[in-house]
Amino acid sequence: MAETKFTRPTFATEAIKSDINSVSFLGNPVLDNLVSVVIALGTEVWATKRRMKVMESVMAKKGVTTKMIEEYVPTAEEAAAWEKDRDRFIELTFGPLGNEGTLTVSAPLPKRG
Amino acid sequence: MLGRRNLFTTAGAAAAGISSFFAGRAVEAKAAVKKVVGDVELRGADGRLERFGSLDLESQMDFTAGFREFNNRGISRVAAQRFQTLMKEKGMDPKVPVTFEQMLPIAENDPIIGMSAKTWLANQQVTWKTLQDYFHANADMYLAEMEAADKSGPGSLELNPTMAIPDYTRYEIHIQPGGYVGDPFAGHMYHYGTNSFYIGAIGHNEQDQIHKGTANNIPAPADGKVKRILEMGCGVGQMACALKERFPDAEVWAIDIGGPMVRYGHMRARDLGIDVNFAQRLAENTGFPDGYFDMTTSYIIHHELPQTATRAVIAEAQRITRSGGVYYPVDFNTGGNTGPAYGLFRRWWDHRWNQEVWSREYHTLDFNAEIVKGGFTHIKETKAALPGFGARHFVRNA
Repeated sequence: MAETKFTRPTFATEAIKSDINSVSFLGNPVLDNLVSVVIALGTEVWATKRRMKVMESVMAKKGVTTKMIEEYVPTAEEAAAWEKDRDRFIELTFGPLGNEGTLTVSAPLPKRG
Repeated sequence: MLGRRNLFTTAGAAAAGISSFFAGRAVEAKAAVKKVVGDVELRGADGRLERFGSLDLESQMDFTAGFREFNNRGISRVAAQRFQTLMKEKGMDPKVPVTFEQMLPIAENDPIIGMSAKTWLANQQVTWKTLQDYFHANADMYLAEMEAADKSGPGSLELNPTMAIPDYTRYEIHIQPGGYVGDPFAGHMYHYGTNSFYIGAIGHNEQDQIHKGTANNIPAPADGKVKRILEMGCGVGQMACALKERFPDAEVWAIDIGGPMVRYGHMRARDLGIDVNFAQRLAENTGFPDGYFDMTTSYIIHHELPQTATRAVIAEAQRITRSGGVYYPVDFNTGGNTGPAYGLFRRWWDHRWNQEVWSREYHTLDFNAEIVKGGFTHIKETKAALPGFGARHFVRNA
């Protein structure tokens, strides 16, 4: 996030910044970074799930019950569209697990032709 | 922040806060709310705690609070077992206390042990970042709210924007972005962030239960005279507020070096209808007259101070507390810098990476002896005001 520009008095002063992002606990900074990513993603996933719960509760009070949601059968068009979106989601999030990673950083460009 | 309302001060209300950290039952109390000018209260309040300004933030914080508990009961236990295994492999007895120097090589490159610290700290960072992102994204609204509160009461606020801020206070304690002095929403973040800490450590505090319990346990002077009370290094003033509620006729002061901290503290006390005087001042240089206070207190600040500052604060407490007055600095027991290896590992990363910068200095100090040396008598038969922490009932010598 870009540094916030405040338009009102803040009564804040300069802090001595921590170096928390420089440490590796797992012997490989990439792994450390991945753990940070996973926890941040968990936070966002839970926020989404919790919002869904709130929506279901609100809708139930308006006559759309959880039972109606659970028993809903998608139309053929919906099912096809959702399946396509599911596959896109899986490819986006888990696709990198299939990367071979066999080249070194200094590997030259592959020969063409 | 909170509008003045019929506060939940009964055991039942406290239990309501305990049963559901973030549930929004305050809506029920809305009818009793008398709005304060400039007050921002987007989603109601749960007793003394204003609900988070957005559902997403509430859910994000719900996750991080849950993850903290998961870490403590799951990942950390695995790491503790791993420590034992590694120590046995090295011919060390896991039950024998070790030093930091003996412990660190065991922990240094082990991914299972490292994972316990990494996940805890990453969760801590997410906690702060979600809070900071929210308040910064809505900065104008929340700064305007504090501006409206600055000059209104009950209570008062003194800010000293040109005062010299000692370097030792500038660290990002608990890796809170900006620490206590460097972010305009330090008080907001500290209040909500520490509620999350408490759950995984000593219990719920959303209704200030822990501060109220502590304030109620601090002994009054033997002569019963309590006209003036001070909380040094007050943070957002939760204990000062609890002391005012216990001693409604007393003049209560709350001081802290963090301008944003006392600003938020004043706003919150005002919105709760509690008459406390907040001031941005140093605990080692309070500016109060000699013998001014009947009770001088602090709540878990000394482990955030270098030893030199702790000694200076004790000297100041001796100067401003009257003869026979009570000095009660709540803080951890000090026990040196050795211990069981895994516990010591946690203390290490808490100190080094969670930025408890001064905790190692604090733990090598004989805190009680320093206070006695500073001109107080230790009343040893009194139990700790905050269970599990040091019993620190001191009376100022004549």
